[in-house]
Amino acid sequence: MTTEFSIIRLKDLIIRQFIMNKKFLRGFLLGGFIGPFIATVGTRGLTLYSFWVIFKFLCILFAGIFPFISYKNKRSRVLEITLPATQFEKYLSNFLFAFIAGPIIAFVATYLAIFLGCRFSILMFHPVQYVPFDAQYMLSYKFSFDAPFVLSYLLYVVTMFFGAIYFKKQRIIKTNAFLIGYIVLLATIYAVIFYNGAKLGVPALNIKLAIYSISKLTFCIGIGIAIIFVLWLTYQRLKEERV
Amino acid sequence: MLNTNKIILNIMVTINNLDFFYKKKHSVLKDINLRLNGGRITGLLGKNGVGKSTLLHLIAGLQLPINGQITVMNYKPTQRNVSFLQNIFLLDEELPSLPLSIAKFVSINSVFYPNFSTENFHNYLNEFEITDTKQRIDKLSFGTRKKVFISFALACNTTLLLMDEPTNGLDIPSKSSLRKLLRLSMTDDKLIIISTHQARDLQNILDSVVILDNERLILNATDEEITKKLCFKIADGNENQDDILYSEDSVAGNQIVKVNNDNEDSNLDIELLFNAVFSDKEKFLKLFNK
Repeated sequence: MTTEFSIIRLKDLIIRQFIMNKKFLRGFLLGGFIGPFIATVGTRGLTLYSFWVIFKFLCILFAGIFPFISYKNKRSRVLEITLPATQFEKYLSNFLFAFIAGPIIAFVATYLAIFLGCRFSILMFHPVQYVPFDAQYMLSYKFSFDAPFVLSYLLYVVTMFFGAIYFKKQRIIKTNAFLIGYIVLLATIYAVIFYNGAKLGVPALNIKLAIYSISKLTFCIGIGIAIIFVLWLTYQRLKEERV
Repeated sequence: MLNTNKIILNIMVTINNLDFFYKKKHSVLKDINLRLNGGRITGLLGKNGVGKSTLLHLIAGLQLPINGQITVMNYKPTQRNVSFLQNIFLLDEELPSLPLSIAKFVSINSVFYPNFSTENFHNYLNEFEITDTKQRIDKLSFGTRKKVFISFALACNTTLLLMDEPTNGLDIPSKSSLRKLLRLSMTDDKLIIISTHQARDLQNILDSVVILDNERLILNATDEEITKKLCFKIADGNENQDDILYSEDSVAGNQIVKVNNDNEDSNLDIELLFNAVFSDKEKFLKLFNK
């Protein structure tokens, strides 16, 4: 894998990815613009908080839709698998596409939509809650970095990335259905612990304490391992891709 | 000694005891053993659904064998090494409908093939009478798309070229152009494997023939081996009836395939051979496995 790695090929793969998906990217950029624009105009100016929510949502959508898009149907899959590049280069190009290009495109779409939406609102409706959305305002946002939340969000995005190679059709729906199933399973285990604990006479509070006493660090390490595992799983899935 | 070495080096595809199935109860290929040499255009023939495309996919590393080994130019296809992928091209029966121009498609894909020749690509397109490379691939008819992909596949100049039903969707002049281009692009260090069920389309260009039937290989022989053992001719009434393996009526007369006991010269008729093989498989198995 490492001996065959070529940065030139990786660059060619990324360029190829952009050109092959140009039409879809344009659609995404347009959709990512129109939605927030209408929302901004409709609510007479969105806040910076809403901006980040929309941005994060678009990043999830991007990671679920665009990576490995050529693997979706058999006809283009043959071309992709037999393309002379290592599986790692192919993986990396999709990874960079999902986690670098995706957020940039999502940021541009959301920013333009809300910035122009605010300007449009001012011209049309003279809104009371006008948000300038300029560089000064953007920088004024105070990020509260909540590591468990950020890592959980990242885990969700990489799971969407995995779903993009694992499921060939309706990738986002199927990945979310899989996640819902997983959450239901966890909730069931949680309920069973409570039920059995209650039967054994253990106070529910003690069980709750046992679960909530997991430190923030342990939780973050756990999620971090899960992220790496899902990324590794995606790579393995790509390596074994067949027609 | 020198000859032996040359023969060993020339073996490009080796398949040993290959088993493959999609569903456990429905085996596609069973205990297939095959050696294919370079410098030849090999026809992979068989009825629909016998596993021709699957075999090509296995050779290209697009499927994993259940049992057995496949070695292609000393590589294991399933490992998908870059140097392996740079030396093979699979032209699948179904082609992608990409939303970009022919020129764009070539510019973003050709960089991955070190032996790609842009000049040859344009020559091949010209042969197929395609001049405008600004046309979008997804707007092309199936036949034109096929011509573009055939031109690209040939221009990649790979050591191993796998073509699955390349004549499907081509008009008559294009089939003839394809035969011409295949002959032109063929060199001693290359192997072209063409899978088809339209045997007549490949008449006169095949150097060897592999015939697949349900799960097994019935025939793997070169043009010379076949015409040495069999004679293809119009019956003149003087033939020994016991030697005739197959006959069919045609406009030209009664075409026959007979055991070539008299060492007669004849040209291989692919379609006649195909029909003859399927009229009595066991006889052919015996004849060619002697």
